[in-house]
Amino acid sequence: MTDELPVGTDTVGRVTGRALDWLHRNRLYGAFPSPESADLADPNGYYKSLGETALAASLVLRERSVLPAGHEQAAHELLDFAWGQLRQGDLLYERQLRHPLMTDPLEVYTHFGRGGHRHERLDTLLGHLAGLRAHQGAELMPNRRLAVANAARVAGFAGSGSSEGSGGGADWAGLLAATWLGRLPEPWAIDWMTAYCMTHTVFHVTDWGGLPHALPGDVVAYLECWLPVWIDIWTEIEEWDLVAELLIVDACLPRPGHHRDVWERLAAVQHADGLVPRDGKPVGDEPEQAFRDQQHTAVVTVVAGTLAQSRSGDASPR
Amino acid sequence: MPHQDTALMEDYARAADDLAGRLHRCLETPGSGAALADYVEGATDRRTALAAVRVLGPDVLAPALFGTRRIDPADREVLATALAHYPLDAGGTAETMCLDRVTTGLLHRAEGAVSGDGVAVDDAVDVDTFLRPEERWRPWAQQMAGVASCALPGVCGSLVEQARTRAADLGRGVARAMLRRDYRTAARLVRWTALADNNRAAVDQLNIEAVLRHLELCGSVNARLSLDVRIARLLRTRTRREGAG
Repeated sequence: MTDELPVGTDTVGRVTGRALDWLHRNRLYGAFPSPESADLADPNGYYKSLGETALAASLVLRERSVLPAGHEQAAHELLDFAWGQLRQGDLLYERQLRHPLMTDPLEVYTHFGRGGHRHERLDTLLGHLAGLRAHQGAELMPNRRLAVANAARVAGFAGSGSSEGSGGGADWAGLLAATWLGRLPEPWAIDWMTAYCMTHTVFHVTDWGGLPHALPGDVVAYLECWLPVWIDIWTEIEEWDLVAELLIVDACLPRPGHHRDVWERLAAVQHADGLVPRDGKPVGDEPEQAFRDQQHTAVVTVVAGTLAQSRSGDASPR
Repeated sequence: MPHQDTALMEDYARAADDLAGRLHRCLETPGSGAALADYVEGATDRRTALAAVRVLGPDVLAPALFGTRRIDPADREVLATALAHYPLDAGGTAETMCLDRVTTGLLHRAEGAVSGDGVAVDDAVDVDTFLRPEERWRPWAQQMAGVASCALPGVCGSLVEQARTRAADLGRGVARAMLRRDYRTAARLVRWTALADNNRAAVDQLNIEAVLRHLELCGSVNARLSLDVRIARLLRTRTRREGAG
């Protein structure tokens, strides 16, 4: 790798390339302090951020044909780094074996699977668990249930996430109907946390923009109408992490709006080293803490920009 | 109207609230008498009371337009006096010109002096320059909120036409205002949605009845907001009745 990635010439390409570069350059801050410190019962520690990095890397690899040279190599190195931290999948396997009802090993594993990494014993274990009624009936938030269904779809465990009457595959219509978004609710009654839930509903139904026609027409029309409002209000209060998530939603629609003015705002707040602040508050100087605080925003910026570039031919600029 | 004196503007705002409360009561309870004239005569400062009449613009005619009060000759005199005291100067904006044109037009119409489809501002204001059709939803909705007092029975022309053809943008404006807890703007835009009979999907998704109830619960202490909500409800009832007929 060179010190700096080549980036696209337009705003989206520049912001995305610099965020990916920042993620790649600072990846060691995401490492477990030591292999022994990997806590199988603590998904919100290093494990979660490694999974998020893997997600971004896997989508860069999926969309590599439209991205500048160098991104593919950076994505491979990020994915390999995270896979190494998870002891080539052993940590996921051990966590899943010890906690059969937990869904995050499958959700995280999917990103690596998309990027070409497999773990044979984990495959066998997940195949076994997918057939359990106990696994299918795990108590989850509705949008999380979609996450599991999509992970199963991508990783090839079709039984997981299924529901009665769906013929062995996931009942996507039923799963979507159970979410906040599925009800086409009053758009003025959304809050910050619900907005994140809404974004994830879209991410999983469309497999992160890979299936832009997977959402029903009424949901697409609803999002085309109200997404600009939500982007506007969270841009106004500088919730950049959520804004980037909303831009991903836009890129998952059949006719993305692209919101170039919002990308200009992101470009304006992006730091010289590529860091994208999660909100309008000051960012600390300590590099490791800055990575811990801002890593998720880099991930969602890379995903949003990667998908926006990939979907640029389907533009309906707003 | 001078804008430099903050204390004076606060006096005008208080007077406008008082008048809005009085108009709201007139809309709630049909009755007789000269609502505007009674208000001005009862005010401690006549000039401030006349300013309030100008601030509320066409809304001072709402009781007459919705049939809960008739226009009393004394009210007409008050309006004429208010217009004379606070004439629209050469620096009047398109927004204030719209409001003035609708106020005088509706007054003549309520008195039966003119007939026809209704009052339009088109001969006084180039609406497509003021509310450019290609304008994006947010600034356009902000402009529509500024002339929301024109959303009254008997108004027609380009303002109403834009509200009808850009129902989704009105809805976006309402949703944005609600999320920002800018309930005044939300209530003003809801008035226009009552006239937007095209592109119902966006308006239906807003659930306007719920918006109005929410505004009543969140903004009940604000007299001008309450007046906008009351007028929006009456407009909706009228639009539905006309649609059914």
